[in-house]
Amino acid sequence: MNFNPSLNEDKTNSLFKARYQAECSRVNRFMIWLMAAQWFVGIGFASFFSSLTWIGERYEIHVHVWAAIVLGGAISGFAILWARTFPKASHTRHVIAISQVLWSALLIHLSGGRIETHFHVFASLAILSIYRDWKVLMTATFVVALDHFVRGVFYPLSAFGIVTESPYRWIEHAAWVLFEVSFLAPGCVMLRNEIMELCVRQTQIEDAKKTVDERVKKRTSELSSANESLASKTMEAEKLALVAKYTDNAVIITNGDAEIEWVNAGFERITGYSEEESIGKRPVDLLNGPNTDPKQIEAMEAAIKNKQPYDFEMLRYRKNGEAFWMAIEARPIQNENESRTQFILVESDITARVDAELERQKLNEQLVEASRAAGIAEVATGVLHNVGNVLNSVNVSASVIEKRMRKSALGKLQRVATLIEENAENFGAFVSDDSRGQRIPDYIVKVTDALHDERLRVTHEFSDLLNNIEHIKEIVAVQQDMAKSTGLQQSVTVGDVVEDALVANKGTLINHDIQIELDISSELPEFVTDKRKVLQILINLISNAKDAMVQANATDRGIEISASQVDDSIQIDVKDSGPGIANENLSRIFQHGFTTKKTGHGFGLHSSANAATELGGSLVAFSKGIGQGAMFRLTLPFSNPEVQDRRKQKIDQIKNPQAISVT
Amino acid sequence: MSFRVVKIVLLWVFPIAYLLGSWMLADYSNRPGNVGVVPADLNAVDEFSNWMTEESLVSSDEPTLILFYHPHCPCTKATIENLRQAVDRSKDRIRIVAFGFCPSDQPDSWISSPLTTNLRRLKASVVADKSGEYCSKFGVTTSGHVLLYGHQGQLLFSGGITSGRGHEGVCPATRDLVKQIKAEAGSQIRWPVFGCSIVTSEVSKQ
Repeated sequence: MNFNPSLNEDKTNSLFKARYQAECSRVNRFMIWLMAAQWFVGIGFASFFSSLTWIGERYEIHVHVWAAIVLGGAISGFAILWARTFPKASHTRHVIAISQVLWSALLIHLSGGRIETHFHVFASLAILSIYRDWKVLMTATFVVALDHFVRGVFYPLSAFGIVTESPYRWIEHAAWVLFEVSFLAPGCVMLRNEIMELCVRQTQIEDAKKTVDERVKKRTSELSSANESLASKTMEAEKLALVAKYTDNAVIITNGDAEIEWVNAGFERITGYSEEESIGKRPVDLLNGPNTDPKQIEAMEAAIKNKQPYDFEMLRYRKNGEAFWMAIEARPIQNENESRTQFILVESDITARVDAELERQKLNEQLVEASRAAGIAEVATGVLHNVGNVLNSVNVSASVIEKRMRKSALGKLQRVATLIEENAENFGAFVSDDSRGQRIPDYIVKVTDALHDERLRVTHEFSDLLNNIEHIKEIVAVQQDMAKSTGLQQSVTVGDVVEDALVANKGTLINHDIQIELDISSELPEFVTDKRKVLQILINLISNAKDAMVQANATDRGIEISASQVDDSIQIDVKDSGPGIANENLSRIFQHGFTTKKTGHGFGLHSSANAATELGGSLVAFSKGIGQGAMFRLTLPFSNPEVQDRRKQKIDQIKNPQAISVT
Repeated sequence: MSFRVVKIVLLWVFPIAYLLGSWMLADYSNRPGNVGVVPADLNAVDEFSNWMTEESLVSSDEPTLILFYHPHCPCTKATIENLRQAVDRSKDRIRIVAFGFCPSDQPDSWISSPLTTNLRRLKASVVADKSGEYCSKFGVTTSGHVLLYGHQGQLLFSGGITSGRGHEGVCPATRDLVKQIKAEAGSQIRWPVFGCSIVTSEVSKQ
């Protein structure tokens, strides 16, 4: 209720003022008529009682008649004029009161003080009390007393020195007037209060009406909105009922102890249990069977006990004993009115989905394996390519040696030997006399020098040859190492792995004049991983970097490899100064079959990324765009027993579908 | 505009007229009439014995009240009313003789008026006072003048018995009159008389 007392008081007061004003105006109008009437009556009065005054035999019009005309006219005229001039002023009431009692005095005087005429005073007071203003009566009383005193006592005493009537008569008269006023005045106050009361009531009624109107309006709008909301809720409920009835899912409502209160048709379709068979039973007792995971049952019971929501995918049994996979979505509902909790369960048969998932997992596994094989093949191709390159060098060395041998200074030495043989008997003379013999020592020295030089060159070539062969051995060894270490967890250092990867690419890196910059701290700890896979990834990354730079014909070819420890992971960055990767390709680069190489197949990065995932890490590509180079970041976890366990579990789950729990 | 001026003027004129008028009225009402020399002993006024054929003005049993009045004077109505009250209170232990003024050229019936009738109801002996002869003899000039003589003829009361001209109702003068009727003793009491002149001032001065 918006009840404002001060506002209401103002309202009541103004209402009262208006009412009282109207009342006063009405009385004023009446008094104007009365004033006029009294004048005529007064003249008649005087004419009747004392029309003539006598002096012996002579007579003339009595003074009273003139008094009635002039004095009466003055009194009534003044009152009427005043009331007309100030119709709403409060002093008008007092002027009228004064005039009225002056009329009383005049009439009493004109009637020669007749007792009956004195009633006019009391009648006048009663009339004046219609104003409901006790102050008006006080004014009247005062004027009565004053008039009486002045004309009855004061004037005779001052003018003629005598008082012809009791000097206290005026007090007696005034007392009688006061006597009447003492009853009329409280009456006035009471009447005034009654009007006030009426105004208060009227204000209250108006207020109440207004309030009631407002409340009715508000209530109506509330009701209509409640109706609308009810209608929409009903519609919603109907729709929900339709959903609950016709959904293929089983919908169950249980009490707080998981005892079934309601099931839909879907429940019967899925479980084979009818509504009658189910109500009052617990789904746990009804549907669980020998192969249902006891841990899941335990977790479910705990959730029910704590009134918690729960989601499970678990193996359950139909009425006919057939096992099936069921997804359960249970939500506790707190009833607004009652303190009890209910559960709403939506259950669906997900056997087909679980089967499909297993199938998909199998396929995925196969695909991963296939990808890995393809990736290995690609790496192997690279390795063979490297071996081929080295073999080229071997060929070159061999042909150089062969050429050297063919053109060897040894032939010249043979010719000198033949010449010495021919002149063996007179070798001394031949050397000293014959011009040819004289040149032999010099010749031998020259040939010897040439042979020495030749030997050096050949030795060098052989050294190269040996190196190359050694290189081939290394490549083959790395490849063998990779092949051998399938799935094998071993402790490695980042430096070793990167070194091995570089060795595998060594030939081509040298051939294409690619600078390698390493920033690998020797303090990085060893970590346990599948070395083959890491090698596979790194070789692929280095090879890709090389290919990209060669393909783009970059002048400043360099690969930066850095490694660091970030939290629980090793982070290996392979950064090239190649053409970079367009933004739109960054996300596609790891897709199976995606390649930017002219002769690529799109297996390398795909299988690298798969391998990184299998290792529990990740492979991410960064590039600021074309021409900005590219960076691949391989993140690998330190060997972590939990991670190992999870992976193992995952593998187990895949292998043994009965134990699947997806929560 | 002119109405406004008239209104303002009237708002001043009315109260002034009233004050002036009421002053004049008060003066008229309260101004006592002339009183001549009133005989102190009724026995001394012999003429009365002669005049009254059947009885003397002086009675040995009761006081005599003599009223002089103008039969048509409206003011004297109050005097007679007061007299009636006084008589009521004095239990009729007085004789009332009323001299009603009658002009010399008028028959006695001229004095017939409500006043005379009222007086007769008071068992007053009404006498037509031709030309106000008796008034002159008693030194009375104003209507409503009451004289009270004791049974020995001594003057007990002289004056009007109203508080003002034509103003009825018990007043000290009335009470004095009643007191004198009852006591029939003590000194003379005189009150002013309020009423119309019975004789003109010229006559009274004679």
